Amino acid sequence: MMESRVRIAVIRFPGVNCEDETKRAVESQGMDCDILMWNGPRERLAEYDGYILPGGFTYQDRVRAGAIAAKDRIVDCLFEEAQAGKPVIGICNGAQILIESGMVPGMTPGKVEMGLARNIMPDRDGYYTRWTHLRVESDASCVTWAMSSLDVTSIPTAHAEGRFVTIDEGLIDRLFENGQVVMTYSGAKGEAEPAFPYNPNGSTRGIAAVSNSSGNVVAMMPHPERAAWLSQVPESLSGHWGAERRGAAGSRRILAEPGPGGEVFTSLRTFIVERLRGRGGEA
Amino acid sequence: MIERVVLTVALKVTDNETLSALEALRTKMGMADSIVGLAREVQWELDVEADSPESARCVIAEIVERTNVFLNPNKHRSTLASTAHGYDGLDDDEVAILVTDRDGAESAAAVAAASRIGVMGLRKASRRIRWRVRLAEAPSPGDPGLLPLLRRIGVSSDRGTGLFSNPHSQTALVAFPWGDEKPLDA
Repeated sequence: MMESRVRIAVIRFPGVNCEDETKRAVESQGMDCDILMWNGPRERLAEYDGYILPGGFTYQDRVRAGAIAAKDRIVDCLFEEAQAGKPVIGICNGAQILIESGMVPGMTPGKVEMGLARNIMPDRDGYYTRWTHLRVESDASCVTWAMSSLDVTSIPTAHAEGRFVTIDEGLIDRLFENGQVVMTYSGAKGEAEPAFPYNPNGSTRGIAAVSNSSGNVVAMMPHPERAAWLSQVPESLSGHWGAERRGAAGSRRILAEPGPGGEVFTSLRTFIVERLRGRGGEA
Repeated sequence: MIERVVLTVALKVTDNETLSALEALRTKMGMADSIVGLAREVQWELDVEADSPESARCVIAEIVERTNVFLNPNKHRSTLASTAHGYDGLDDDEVAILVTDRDGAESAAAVAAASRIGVMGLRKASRRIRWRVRLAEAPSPGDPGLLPLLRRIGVSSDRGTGLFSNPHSQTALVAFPWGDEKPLDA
């Protein structure tokens, strides 16, 4: 029996600006994707297998990045869908919404247990963008399902408030022990806890992505949709993906192949097919 | 000698951030019966190396006049003082929720920016947001429901409650019109 295609909804809040490229990246990995308005009919959400909150500046980052969007009713609906096991990925500003709404890390569901604070960088302030190397700390999440722990990938970051912090003593250790720290910033060969600029924002222990305990809700600061194709990788990048890119120079066919961010969307599809639907294709 | 100057900055044009916050509180967070108005100020506590309080104020006045480090005079109005309490100037039906970033990252940047443009006297800057919340009922010191209400307004401890401060990255104080201040973090 033919399995129905995976359907993903990208949620367009006022102020997001990455919804179109996120949709293209999802579709490039063999999934269907629609962009839904944040204030649209709630019942439509149930039609989808998973959800992505894309990057941008919801409500112009007023008060605090993600703080106002976290209070929108659609977040309550996403919370219910996530409770049923469906994946919800927040990318950058989407991650800020998931953290501000308490969906991640969700040790006590709905309780705000972390913050994404302003970047701390030597001799700089505010918004900062660069390609980062990331070490996969857990392959049990919906964004790393097709990867292996300790794999190193490379994805760009671009934000002013991306530093994972908490005042809950011991929480960070528990997140590592539970496999809820999904990715950390690393050196090009996976070296742990690097300094700036490899850790671009001063994030606690280099954390770049955190999930809930089931791995189906992930707040990640890097932008995988900006690394979905090899052609998007800069030739100057160090590490494996930079070498791949330089090796593909001049070949349009190879440059059109998936880049490092593509693995995130492959993971999303396989997570849904293998874990949510089961290998028999059951919904 | 280090002298302290408090620079208070507010928009003189429409403050869209305040409008969005008020809208979120009243319509998304169910506070329409409790909150009737909102205003926002940024307070900078600035430590200046100077011979006297007057010369310290002159240093800050020069920064304000010549640079955009703290404000844009086309859009903002500002006042200078030697001290500022959270409760200064509150009406009887207002409280102030004062939010400070735990690490003060933007404050160090302000000092560095002032230094880069040649203002050498500024030694330290700390910044807080002062949200002036106008309540439907004037607050009273004996009301046991007041502090819980202000926490539901001010501190993001749960999904759906609290807006102004994420307690993991910020601290919050509340100031009352009768001249009292209390920590708001749970």
